[in-house]
Amino acid sequence: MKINAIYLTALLAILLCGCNNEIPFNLKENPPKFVMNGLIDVENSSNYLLLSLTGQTKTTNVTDAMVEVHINGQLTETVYAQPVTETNGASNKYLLTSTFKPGDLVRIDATTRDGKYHAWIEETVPTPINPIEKVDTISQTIFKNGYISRLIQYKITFHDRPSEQNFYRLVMEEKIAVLKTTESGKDTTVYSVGYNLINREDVVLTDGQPMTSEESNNGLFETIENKYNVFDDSRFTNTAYTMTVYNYLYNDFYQWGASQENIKHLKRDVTIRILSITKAEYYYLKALNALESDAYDESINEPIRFPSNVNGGIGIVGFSTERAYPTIIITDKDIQQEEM
Amino acid sequence: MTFTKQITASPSLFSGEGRGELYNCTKMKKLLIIITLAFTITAAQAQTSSSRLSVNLRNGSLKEFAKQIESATKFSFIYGEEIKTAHAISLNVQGKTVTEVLDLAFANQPISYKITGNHILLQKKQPKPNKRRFTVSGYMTDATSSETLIGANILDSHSHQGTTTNAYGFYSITLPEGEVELNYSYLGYNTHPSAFTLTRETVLNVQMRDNTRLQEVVVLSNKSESGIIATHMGANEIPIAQIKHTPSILGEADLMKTIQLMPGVQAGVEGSAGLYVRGGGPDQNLILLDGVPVYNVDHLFGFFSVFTPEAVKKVTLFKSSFPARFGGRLSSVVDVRTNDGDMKKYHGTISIGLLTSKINFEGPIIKDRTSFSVSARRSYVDLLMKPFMPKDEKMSFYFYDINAKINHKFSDRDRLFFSFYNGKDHFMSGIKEFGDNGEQTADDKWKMNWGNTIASARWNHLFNSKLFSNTTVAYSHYNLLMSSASHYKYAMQENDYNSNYKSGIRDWSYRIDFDYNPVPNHHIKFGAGYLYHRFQPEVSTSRIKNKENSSTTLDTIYNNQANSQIYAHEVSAYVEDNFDLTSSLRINAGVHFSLFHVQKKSYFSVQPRLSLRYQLLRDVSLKASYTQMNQYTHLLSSTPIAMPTDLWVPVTNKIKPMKAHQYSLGAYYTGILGWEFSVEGYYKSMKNVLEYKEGVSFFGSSTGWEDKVEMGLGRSMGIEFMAQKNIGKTTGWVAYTLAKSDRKFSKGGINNGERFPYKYDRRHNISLTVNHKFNERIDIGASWTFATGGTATLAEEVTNVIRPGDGSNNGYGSFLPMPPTRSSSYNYSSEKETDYIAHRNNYRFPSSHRLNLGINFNKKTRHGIRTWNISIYNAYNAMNPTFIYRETKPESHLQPDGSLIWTSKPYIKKTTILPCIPSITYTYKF
Repeated sequence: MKINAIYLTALLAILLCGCNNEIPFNLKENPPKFVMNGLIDVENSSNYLLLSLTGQTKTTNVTDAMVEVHINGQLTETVYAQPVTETNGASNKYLLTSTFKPGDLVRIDATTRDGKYHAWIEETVPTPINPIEKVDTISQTIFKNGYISRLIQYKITFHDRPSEQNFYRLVMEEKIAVLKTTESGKDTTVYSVGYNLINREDVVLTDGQPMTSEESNNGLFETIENKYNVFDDSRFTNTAYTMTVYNYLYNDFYQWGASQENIKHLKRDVTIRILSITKAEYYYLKALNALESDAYDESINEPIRFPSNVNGGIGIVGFSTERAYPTIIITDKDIQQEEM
Repeated sequence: MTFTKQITASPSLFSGEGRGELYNCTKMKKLLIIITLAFTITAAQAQTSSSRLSVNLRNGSLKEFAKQIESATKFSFIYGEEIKTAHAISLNVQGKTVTEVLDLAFANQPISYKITGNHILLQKKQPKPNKRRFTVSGYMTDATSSETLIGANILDSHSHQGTTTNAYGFYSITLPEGEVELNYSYLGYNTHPSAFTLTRETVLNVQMRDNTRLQEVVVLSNKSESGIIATHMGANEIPIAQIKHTPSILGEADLMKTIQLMPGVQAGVEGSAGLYVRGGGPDQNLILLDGVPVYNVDHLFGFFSVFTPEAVKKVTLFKSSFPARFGGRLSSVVDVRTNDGDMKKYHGTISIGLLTSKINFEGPIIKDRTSFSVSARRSYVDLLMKPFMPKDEKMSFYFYDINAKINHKFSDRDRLFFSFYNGKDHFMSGIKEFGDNGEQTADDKWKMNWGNTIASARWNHLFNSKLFSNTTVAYSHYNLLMSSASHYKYAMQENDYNSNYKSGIRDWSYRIDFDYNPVPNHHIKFGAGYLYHRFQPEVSTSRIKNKENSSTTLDTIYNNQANSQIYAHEVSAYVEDNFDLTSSLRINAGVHFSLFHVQKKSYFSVQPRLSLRYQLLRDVSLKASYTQMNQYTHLLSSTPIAMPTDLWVPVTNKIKPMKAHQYSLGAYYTGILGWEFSVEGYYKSMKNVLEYKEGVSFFGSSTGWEDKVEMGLGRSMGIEFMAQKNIGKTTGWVAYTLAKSDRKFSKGGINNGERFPYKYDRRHNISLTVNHKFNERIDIGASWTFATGGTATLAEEVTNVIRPGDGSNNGYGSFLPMPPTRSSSYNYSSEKETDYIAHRNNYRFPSSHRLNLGINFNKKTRHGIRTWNISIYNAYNAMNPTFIYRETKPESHLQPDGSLIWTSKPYIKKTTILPCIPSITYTYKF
């Protein structure tokens, strides 16, 4: 929470007349740093490690490195950069196919061909929580941005992993399938995936500061939104917690080119996932929350320095394991009933 | 006839009745006579004690001396073998009588003599009976107002012993009975001599007269705890007149900004009133208002301080050798004492400035018994803005301070004080909006209030002339309250939203202090205190209410009080003695004990304090000191300016108390009349200092704050030079500081464990303050400061950051032709470029410098003095940076083929909020 810098500046400007000037910034010739990034989803059979070098004004992809993965001291794979393809995009991606299990001690080394850069991480794969106890849903109307909107409230009950400090992330995945009729009169189905959720009323997700959109928009209070929905167990250590979040009942399906008239049917699958993440990833994502927030004002606040767990370089390599709650399916029929 | 006899006698022989037998000592068996001559006698034979003779003896023994006398006269010596000289006898006299010769020879020897007939009987000198000692004590006050004088000097010309008045104007000095000549002095006042015969315990209250008091000649007050005389070092007494005459922003005389001109003190952000003392943070300063801690000393986000100079009597800054009575902060103590109030007559001051107006009024309630002092200050930019604000918009800001004090003197033994302070900043904004069709209305209001309330009662009691006590019961409360209210209406839909946010700290304290002067050379202070803290880092409450067609669809209250109250107990005790070990060496030795109990965890510490002062020459003294300090509270702050949202939190199970060890050496010279020169060097090591971890310093709540900070080490070192001119028409000082301060955290932690400079690590600092009084009507003041840049964290490179592909809560993925699966490409993370910061505080601000000027035009009127002050802050408009940040702009590069390549060129943007600011202030003293 902070006071909007605009108001502070305005106030000072009223009393005093300030001004801005430029100062030349002579960049130092710092040697490039080896950047290793990866957010490894243990449930996924394939994950990517991304390697690059820092630069004064732009980064450089590292395409010639060798990556070695050791699990519990055993080399499990040696990987080279993915070839450039239209699908994979940048060529600094290194596909990891090792199978990681909770509790594994994983070491990943990356070395450039010339041996000039070598970086490594060592992390223990976190253990997932016990299965999510329950998810209660209810339709709710709340006032948002000057309008009353109809939303679905989710009350997610789960238990903290006992006897250790834990870091988590909430993911609410919506898979939407829309059956529509094209202009040529042919029925077709389009799909999308979304992650919108409203967390502003939950004590844990807001780090103890629940509020409404009005509060965050009214100028006095500006809060860094927990965009990546990370949280720790400091408020419910060794106990159960019921988390309250919302998402919209309706979605703007029309952006996919489906006007209301030609939609014949739609279906939403909502999956609640609670990820156990590493401590390094938790702090990294909190920093990312700030970087991507409008509330962050670099003229008053210091620039964000990202936490890193990479030795011999910079970046973040995180591991996550998860518990998913059985899919909640909402069809257009349900929506119409709510609308009534 | 001459003979010499040496007697070895039993003790009884020298008892009263045995003495007669000494004349028969020739009969004693243990008689021994050995005389070795190393002299010549050229005197006529003398047969009586009035006969004159000459003696020339160099380093002779008693025997040699006796032999010479016996040779030259008819006298013979009689003495026992226990009669010994303390040192060899050297004598060269001509034509002196025997009596005179004996007087001279035994003047400094433990021997007395008696002439009986032809015999000279030698005896041991009987020790003189001890002179009795008595104590002179009392209060020193201003004769005009009866205001007590703190730190005034009392010196006895006979015994060359002296003392000073304590914080309540009380003094006590124990002297031998007999004639005494006490000189009472306080700079700016006439010296008050008092000569009398001391025959009993004496109470002597002294009223000092000052003919020029109204003109307020800028002089430094006497220095009881700083300067060449004091044992302490790293201490500066800041005269109120100096504070009032040092030009500042908008003519607002500011105590903290005058302190910033002292060596070893940094200002923090340009123009702010923050104090960064010898590499310490702003929460490491113990600011005491009449002995009660003040937590928030800022107005207007730290650009003005809360102290109204008109209410203040004395300010002392301690930077290194902290007296044992102080504890709880690492880096400095600012001891602010307020006016007690005039016991004789009513008078006051009215001041009107561009930012604030002030009034001070004081006088007797019961003459010579009870007095009051009231000061108030308020800013009025809100009142000036009000007529120009649109009807549907409101915005205001103001701050105010109220100081009040009542002081009742029951007798010379008992005195009672009640003090009250209340200060507040208020910030409010509101807007009303109406839709075009009149159906939609929006009404938003939000306000923020923050400030301190301090109330205290003090009782001075004199147990006897040697033991003085002060008992204080106090309440101190810093509180921030933010509230927001919104009402929206659209057709039949209504929404009300209210939120409140509170944070603060509240203390109840009890403290008793004693001044004990048992003997002339020992000034002992001891005492104990108890503080009951209630920390309330954050409490927020929100209420949301929705209505549709007049029926409530939602009415919810959200409370967050998980971290609302933390209670802590702090107990402390101390003892210190200021004493002369030799005539040149004075020592102040003390120890401070403290116990802090919070969340079922107790921290105990023993903090030794030692200061030595060695008087090398009359005008030169050398000092050394060692202090240990502990701190149990922290201020969580995420911005470089003082924000009301900064939170005071206590140590916990995880976060240990901060500790500092400071070593100092110094030399002081006062050989030039009116000048004082000093040089002090210091080294301070700090343990368990807190810094936010990487990436979490922004706007975080106090929730889980322990996980957001890291404990590390800090150190600072430096050397400070200062030359002060205290008296005359021109006064002021010049100070230069060479300093370095840094921090270090564990490997893998902040800055990856590498040492990095502290934010306000400024290598060179110069401050120059001059006041000159041309005549009774015109005086000027100027201050110039120069400081090399502090540090900032700026990105010098760019890097890639990775974003989760799933759950980024940032909308919907793009259209997918196939049902998405776990391994679909949408699910993978992506990278984007962003600034990369290699090290903390990796950039040096440019140097800053500033000249402030002020001129006073005084005129005596029928009822007082009116003063017009014209000040210019930053007279030559130096564009000193208040904030800096990195930005980029596109830059084109022409390629050999004629095409253009665009890149981003980084540059630094500097914000200067305090350019040249003239101001005018009108003051009337009556």
